[in-house]
Amino acid sequence: MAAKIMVKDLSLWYDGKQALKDVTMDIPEKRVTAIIGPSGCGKSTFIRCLNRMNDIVRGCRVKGKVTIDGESIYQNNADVVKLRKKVGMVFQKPNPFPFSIYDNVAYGCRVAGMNNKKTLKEVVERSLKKAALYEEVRDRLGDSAMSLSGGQQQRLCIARTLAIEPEIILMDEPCSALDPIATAKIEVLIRELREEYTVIIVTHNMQQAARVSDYTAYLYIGKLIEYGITRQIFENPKEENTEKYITGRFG
Amino acid sequence: MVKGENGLWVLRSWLTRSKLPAMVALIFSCGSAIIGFTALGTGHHIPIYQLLFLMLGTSFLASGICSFRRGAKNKRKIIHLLAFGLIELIIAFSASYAPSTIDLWGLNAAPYSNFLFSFGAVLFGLIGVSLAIGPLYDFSPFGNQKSAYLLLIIAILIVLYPLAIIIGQVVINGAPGITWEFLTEDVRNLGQEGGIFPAIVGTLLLMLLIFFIAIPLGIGCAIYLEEYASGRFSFIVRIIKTSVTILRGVPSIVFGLFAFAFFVPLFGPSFLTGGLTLSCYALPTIIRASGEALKSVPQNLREGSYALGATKWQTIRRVVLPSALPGIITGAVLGIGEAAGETAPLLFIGTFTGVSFPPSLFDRVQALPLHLYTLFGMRGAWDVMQNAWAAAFVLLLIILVMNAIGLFIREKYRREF
Amino acid sequence: MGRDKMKSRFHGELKEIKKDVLRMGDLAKGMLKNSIAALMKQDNELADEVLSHKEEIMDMDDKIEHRCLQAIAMYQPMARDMRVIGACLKLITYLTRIGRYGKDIATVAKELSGKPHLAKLVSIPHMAELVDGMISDGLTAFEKKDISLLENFGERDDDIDALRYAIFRECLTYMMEDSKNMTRCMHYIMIARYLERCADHACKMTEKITYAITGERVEIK
Repeated sequence: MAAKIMVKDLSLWYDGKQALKDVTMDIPEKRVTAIIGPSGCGKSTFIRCLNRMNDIVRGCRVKGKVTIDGESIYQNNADVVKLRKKVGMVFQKPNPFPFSIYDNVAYGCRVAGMNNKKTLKEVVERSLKKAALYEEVRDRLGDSAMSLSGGQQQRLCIARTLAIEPEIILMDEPCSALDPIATAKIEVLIRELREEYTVIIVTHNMQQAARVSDYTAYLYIGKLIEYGITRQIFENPKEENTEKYITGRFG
Repeated sequence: MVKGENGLWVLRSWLTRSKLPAMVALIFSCGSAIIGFTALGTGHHIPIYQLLFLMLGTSFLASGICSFRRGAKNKRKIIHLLAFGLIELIIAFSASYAPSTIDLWGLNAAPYSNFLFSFGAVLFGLIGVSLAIGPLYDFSPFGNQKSAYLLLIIAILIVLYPLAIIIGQVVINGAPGITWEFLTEDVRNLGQEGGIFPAIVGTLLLMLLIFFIAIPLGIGCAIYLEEYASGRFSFIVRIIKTSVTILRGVPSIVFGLFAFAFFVPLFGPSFLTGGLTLSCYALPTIIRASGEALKSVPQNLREGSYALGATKWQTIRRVVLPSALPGIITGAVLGIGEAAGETAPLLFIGTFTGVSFPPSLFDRVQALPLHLYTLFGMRGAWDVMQNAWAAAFVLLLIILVMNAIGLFIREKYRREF
Repeated sequence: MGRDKMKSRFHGELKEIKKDVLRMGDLAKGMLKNSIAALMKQDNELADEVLSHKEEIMDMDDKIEHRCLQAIAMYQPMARDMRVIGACLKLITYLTRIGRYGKDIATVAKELSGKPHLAKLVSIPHMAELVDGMISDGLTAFEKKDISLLENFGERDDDIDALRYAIFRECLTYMMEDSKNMTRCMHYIMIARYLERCADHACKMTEKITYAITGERVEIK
């Protein structure tokens, strides 16, 4: 199976303080990869490198190579906008725009220049269906997105990301602000998305990582300690550090 | 405590423990503050200050004693009550012994005695209000809360009181002068007769010009300052922001001088000059308000937009600006309203004659505040006060309507999302 | 901070569960050993004593199982902790069976106590000793997390199987010689069978213990 994303010796500094140290790993295509580790170990920082969201943060310096489909994304003339259409992102706290549900999902397409009403409607419907939200909102697409519950808002954000048809979906602790029922729905969704997309999910909930992912990477203070098949990591990890974290002896 | 004296003992015990003195103290404090305030405001002095202080003193002393008898634990507060009561009694008694001419550092204080007393009444009244509620609730935190609440309400009333008086006076004096002719006719006889139509039109036109000049410039500047100025330019941004803040503090008449020196030679005393000057006056407010509105848009909305492949400008245009719109509109309305009501910037431009409608940019234009100013200047010589009040009424009305429109638009945007 | 406290509560609980399992192991071992001793010495009192533990060992089975399930539900253990709890659940099952075999042998011991032994009980005492050794080593390995004790279990199990077969043949011979020996020989063959089963259970225990400690699945024989 080809590696969709190849990360080599990735290091990152925020205002001189090093947040990632020489992280190297290959992320396979059309699988779910979970990133786990104690708080502040660089999990979110790491995935934000994959769609260059760290560019927005002031004082951020990046070294190393990140290759997606064979192309390095940090090279000088890289098209960041195009990258972000290929690599979508769902954030920890749902952040729908203060527009209608329809406009939220259509946002990415409109921004990309798609204006045909019929096409947009199809895309919106399809994305909402994929995000398992369509049935709940089909009668009120014109309502404000802010009137949805937390779990629905998060699924809306996922639909919004799916609408631009990315190949890779990054999820930064997508369920941490949600109740258990909403969390369960999104976990089911993630398992379904795996068939079409490469999913990378950051989570501090190890049971969730075990339930949802095929591969797991364990990061500790900016370093990649262990990376392997999820079952193996949670049943019998190779590194002592990993074992300690997973069994809760620290962090 | 013999059995026969039971009734009296109960009465005495009830009296010395009751909350009645505290209630009386509260009422008298309020009364004192109101009387003092009105006296200060209207200049009518009722010579009851001595009596007032006497009543206050005794009621505070009594409430202090009663609180003590009730077994209140906060000894410090009781001491406050007693001290306060004592001070007031001392003032009450010393006032009767003070000669009518007090030699205050060599100055004759007689004319000031009324002022001093009414001011003292207000001061002690307010302090008394804050102290008097405590014993009513036995110094519990609940009582403190009530006390704070009451003081806040008083603060609001103090703020609204002058506003009410101003509006009241304008309406009472100006309303009779509002007739259809007044509103639609030209100025005649240097303002003694005729109407203020040109002034109204002029003010409205100036507001329009400010709208087209200051708002795009102001919002654009705010967008640049908040969104674009990145790390490399942060030093420049700070300079610009500081300059804007300083500009807000510049007196409006200095703006007038600036206009006279800069715009008048270029465009003459014209509509354009007036609009430009007022725009300069309105800009800092608009920039500041828009900047705050943009800053208050949460960062995660922008991140969400970037993550979907939008460019910076797309994000600003589609997400940030619409979200910040209520705040920006408020700032715009405030800015235009402020500028339209200013006289000083237009003083030196000399816009005085009537206006033909529509004026070209270089025609002269009249403005309501300015007209009001000139009318007032002539009050000794000619009978123009009625018209002046009426003009003030119209000006106030225009500003109020504008604010109402702004609020309406803002609420409409806010309610949608 | 709160998570640490919960986790250390879990680890404390895990320790207690392990102690309980070892206690149960001692009980099962004891029942087996004493039942063979009762058989050898023809001591009915000892046999009764073994029988009295029947309820106790089933009780322990239930209690430890309940404790393990609770720990899983509450703490969701991972990695080694998860394997250890899984092992505990299996160990108590095997230990219960070993204890029950002890009970069965004690019952037979009472039946045979009237008559004299045949051929010094063939090789039964020797076999019992070997089986007892296997169980002990398994429990010690579990306690000390030392898998070196478990290395040659395959061979030891082979020895036990050989012994059972030898006893079978020997008893067949005796039965053919004299039909009055039939009752005793049948019992002997049964007891040998029980001991062999106990050895199998000890091997299974070893597999689980190895998995718990190393994470690798092994198969004995």
